[in-house]
Amino acid sequence: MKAAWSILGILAAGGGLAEAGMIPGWSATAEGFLTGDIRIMSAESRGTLALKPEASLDWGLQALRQEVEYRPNRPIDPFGEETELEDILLEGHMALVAKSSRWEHRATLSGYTGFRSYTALWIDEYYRQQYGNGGLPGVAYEDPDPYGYGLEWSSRLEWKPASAFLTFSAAYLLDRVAPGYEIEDLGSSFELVRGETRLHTWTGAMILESVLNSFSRTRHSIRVTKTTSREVRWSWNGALNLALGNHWIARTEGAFAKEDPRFEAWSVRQALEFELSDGWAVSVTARYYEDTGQIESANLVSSAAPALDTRSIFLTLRQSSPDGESGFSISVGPYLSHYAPTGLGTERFAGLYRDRDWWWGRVAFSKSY
Amino acid sequence: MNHLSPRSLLPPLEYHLSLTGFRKYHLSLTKLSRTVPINYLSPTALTGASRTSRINYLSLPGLLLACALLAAFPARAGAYVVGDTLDDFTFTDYRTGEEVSLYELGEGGGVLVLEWFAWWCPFCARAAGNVETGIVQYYGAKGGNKHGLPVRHIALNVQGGARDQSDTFIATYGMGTVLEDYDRAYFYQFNYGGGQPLFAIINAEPDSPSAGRWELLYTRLNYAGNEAPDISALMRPVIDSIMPGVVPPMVEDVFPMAGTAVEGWRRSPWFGWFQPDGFPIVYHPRLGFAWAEAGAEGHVYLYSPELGWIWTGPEMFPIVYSYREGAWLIPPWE
Repeated sequence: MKAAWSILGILAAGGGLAEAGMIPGWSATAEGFLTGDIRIMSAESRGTLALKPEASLDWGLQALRQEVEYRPNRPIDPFGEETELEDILLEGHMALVAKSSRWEHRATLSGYTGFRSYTALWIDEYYRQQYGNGGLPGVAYEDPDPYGYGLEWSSRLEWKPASAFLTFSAAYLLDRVAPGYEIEDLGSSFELVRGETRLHTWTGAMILESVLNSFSRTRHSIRVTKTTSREVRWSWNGALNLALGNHWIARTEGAFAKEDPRFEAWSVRQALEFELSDGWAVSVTARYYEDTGQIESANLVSSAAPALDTRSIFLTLRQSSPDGESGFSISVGPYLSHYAPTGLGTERFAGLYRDRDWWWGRVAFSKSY
Repeated sequence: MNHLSPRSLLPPLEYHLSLTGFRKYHLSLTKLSRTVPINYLSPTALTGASRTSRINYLSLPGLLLACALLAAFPARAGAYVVGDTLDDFTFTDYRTGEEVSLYELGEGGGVLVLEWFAWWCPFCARAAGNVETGIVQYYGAKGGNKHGLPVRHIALNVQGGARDQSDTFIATYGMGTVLEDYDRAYFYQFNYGGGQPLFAIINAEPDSPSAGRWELLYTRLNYAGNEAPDISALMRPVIDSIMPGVVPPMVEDVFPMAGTAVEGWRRSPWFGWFQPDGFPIVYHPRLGFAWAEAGAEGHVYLYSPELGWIWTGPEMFPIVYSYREGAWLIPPWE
């Protein structure tokens, strides 16, 4: 799942063209994330409708198709069968934005249906093959129907005119997930038990954006997240954008997250953009991510991912119209994911948590009115 | 997730005492010196931690407390430890549904390797694959253990129901003899805690100089933190250590025509009366005590403290050949 979130993180980070802000407009993005046994393709559209001069409606729709070649660790999984998995994730959001002289308030309603990641799809197939044929006391395996929705409120204050912005946000998310299963030892018998199916997540963040001078600006955010059955996760994200002369822009970003009892993750990202003539620009972006592995306690089988590190580098070609009302970009590059060896409890997921070399590509178009 | 397991129902002290076999020996303290912890080949045992802990409990207050606890948990009594002689136990054969006993399974002698498993257990799957190649196929190809004794693998299924899944597991790992232990009645005689697979090696060879018949040679719960990547490598030295049984010689093998016993004495047509109570040591009125072994064509080798090794037979006795003297001797053989 972490790899998938890393993927989504890259996608989101590269989605600048889709952010139309208060200017009415529309954007479309198509992306692909491909490796030998996994293919993830998505199409997204976003738009902004001006309701009043001080109010607008933002919307977004995304369809993400995941194809996974399920390969069990056959020597230690007598019930594993190779199969092809497919799922389509549909996501949507709608945000009402109201703006005054110094404040911008945003209320967002979002929802989705489908597996959020290919890892969740893979793990569910494992449980289906193991326990889908019944025969054990306790609960029975059920075909999952993952979905979720959330509500977020954020307020952005123009703290110092055109130079400092402070944003507070709070959100609640409910995820109906595909649960894990475990065997419980009752002494003279065993029974199958099901893990959590509903996860409640509360999260709050504070973001400070500062324009330091005519050529640099920064952004820092601190986020606190609490999810059912887990400890609080703290995360920090910082970014520095520097204009290096008339044609060069450097974008640096770092992030760190920590969750007890033993999860830590950090990443760095560096982009360097060069403006060509006539609205054309080219940039190269490199990113590194590392974590200590997911937290999960289980009796027999743990689907928790081992420690992960990823490396990616991609090239982007961007073009903006002279009037700035439309834009186009195309990005492509490799993405390498490396997992630490699976342990004795996670060995059955060795086919999932294995090193992969991916190719990522994205095409985006935006138009404002 | 394990909150209802028997282990968690027991206080730590009682559990430890039970695990180390104290319960079995609390009325026979002389045997305490030969008890060793379960999993005696495990890293924990090698550090001596289990042994030290057990000895610490052998103080008088500890004994009293243990007795009180044991009285409170009678159902958990009697875990076997390495060195114990196993009682017979009757199982149901997984395939035929017929009853079969442990002693019947080992009546042909050799070594029994018991493996408890459940089809859904990943540790069992990993170990079963290892045992299939490292024990079953390994000894199958060699025709027995290092000394030629048959090695019989016996799987014990702890999960009832779900016949299809058990069948798949059994077929995948080529299990031959499979028995039912659905309520883990036999499992708990070796291990109080939960988890599987559990392994036990039993000597079924009669009169082996290596171990007593039905003696428990090895046991290991190969589960979670105690999982050995190559369980077969740990078990093979134990299996190979068992030597064939020595068949004790019979009086008739040495003195074929000896008559039936009369008040402890038997009479050979040529050797005369002798007392064979400690056979092959016999008492002869003229020779005294002697060790008797059969030779070729009805001849007999005898060893007496006075004469050393001598050789004689029906047509020559009481004349004997003395290997010490290198000469024939006649009574009084001096």
